[in-house]
Amino acid sequence: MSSNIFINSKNVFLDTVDVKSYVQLDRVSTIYQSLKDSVNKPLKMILLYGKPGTGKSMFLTKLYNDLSSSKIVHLYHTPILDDSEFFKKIAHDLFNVNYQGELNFTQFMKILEEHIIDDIPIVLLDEAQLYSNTLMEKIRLLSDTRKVKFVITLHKTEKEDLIAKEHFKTRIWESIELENASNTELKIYIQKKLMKSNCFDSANMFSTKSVNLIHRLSKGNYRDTNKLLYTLFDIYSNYMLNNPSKINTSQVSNKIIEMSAIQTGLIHA
Amino acid sequence: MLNLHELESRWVRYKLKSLIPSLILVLIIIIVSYILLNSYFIYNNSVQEELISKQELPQKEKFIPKQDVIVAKIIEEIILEENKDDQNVSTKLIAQTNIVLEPSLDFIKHIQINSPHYYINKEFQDDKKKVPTKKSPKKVKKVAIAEAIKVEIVEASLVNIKRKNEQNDIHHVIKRFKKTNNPALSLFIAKKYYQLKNYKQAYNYALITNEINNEIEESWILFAKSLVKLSKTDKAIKMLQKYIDNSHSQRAKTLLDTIKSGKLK
Repeated sequence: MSSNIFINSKNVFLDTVDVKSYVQLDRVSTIYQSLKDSVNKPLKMILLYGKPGTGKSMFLTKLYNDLSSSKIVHLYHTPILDDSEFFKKIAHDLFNVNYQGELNFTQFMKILEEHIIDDIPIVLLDEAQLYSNTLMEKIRLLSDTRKVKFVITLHKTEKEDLIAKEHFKTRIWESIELENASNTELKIYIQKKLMKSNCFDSANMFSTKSVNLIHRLSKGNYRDTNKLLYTLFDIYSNYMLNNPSKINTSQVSNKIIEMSAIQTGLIHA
Repeated sequence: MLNLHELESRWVRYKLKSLIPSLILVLIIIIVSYILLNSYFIYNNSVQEELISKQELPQKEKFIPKQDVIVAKIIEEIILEENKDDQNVSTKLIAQTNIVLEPSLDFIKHIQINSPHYYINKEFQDDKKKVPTKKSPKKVKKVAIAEAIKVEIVEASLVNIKRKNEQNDIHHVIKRFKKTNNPALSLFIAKKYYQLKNYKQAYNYALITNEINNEIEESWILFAKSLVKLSKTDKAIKMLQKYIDNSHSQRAKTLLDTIKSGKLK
């Protein structure tokens, strides 16, 4: 086994939001389908929430990719924190209006009333927890007009459970929670991801035991798993180059899994 | 770029750290199990010692200094009483009588010796008899006839006193036993009667001792011996067998073998 295989395997787990690397898991597919169905319903707002690294951004990106050919969809990965900039951006993207100067909520509402579109545009907002409460209230008012549909993703944090907030409770018609992967799901996720990139030898290296250890360390979080496996294959490729006798290429060693966890900070040693 | 060497050493440190709780747990388990086992063995030993001490109780009782002191006091009292009774005997004779009474105390001290008491007395008597024979006939002639008669009286009174003493010993001990109901005393009485060949009384007191405390091995032995002497060998064997079954006493086994072989008659 050459070090190239490990380098390729390493790159599979680069933490990027790439729809091509989206892994179809049974539970995830069901959730995605329900999200797609919700978009087609006359809902004011759809909330996608979950802990960081559970695949919310990936979901939103996939939804954008799937809907962009048939609907007016706009995805905003990075939050636009300034109110005026936010409305100007949306006015430009949805109605092709380039507004000069400050654009406040009232002015934007006027633009919205001037442009009557049969197909309601969909605005996908990632990391919505970063928006201010005032802006969120304005977004809520916009969604109440039923002229724009919003799909927003939120981090579900222990300190601040945003779903509990009144303006979400009353206006969200659909909320979908994304969770960490189970042991079995994680094994499928790793192997599918590797096999998608033709890294079959690397995919065969993962036994149930080693996946269980990875799951214990990453708690089934996709982002942490990606980080861990990226480092793991980095270590393997390093050993392959400098000290190949020290590694067993037929099975992932627990020692190297733990070393990767130490390197990524999942284990505090 | 990864520093594998550093990462490996961090991993080693991590493994050692993660092993510490397990090691502590194992250590605690070992210590706890050691303590439990130790306490279990100590408990077992104490139970065994208790059983052994219970079996050895009669022997210990024989050698309790307090008991010896009491018996010695009793004997002294008897002597004093005897002296008062023999007021008609001359002072010289009284003095001699006091000396003569010493073997009786020896008998108490050597109570474990099973040899019949009267043998000692006989020897003593023989010695006493020898004393005058050693003297040359001339010297005897020189000694007043009255003195010769006194020696004869001394010899005669010696036997009488001895016998009285033994009987009184028992009676006095019986009195004390009736007051205290101490099994050590009843066992003493049984032994004494056995030595005096009063096997019926020996049997009775062994039985009484047994009723008070049935764990005294000596009482069972005496009981069996008395039965044999009373020509009830079958009963003695049966009883000993039962006792051995319960106590596994080695002495009882030896005695049973002796009885069965016919050595004890």
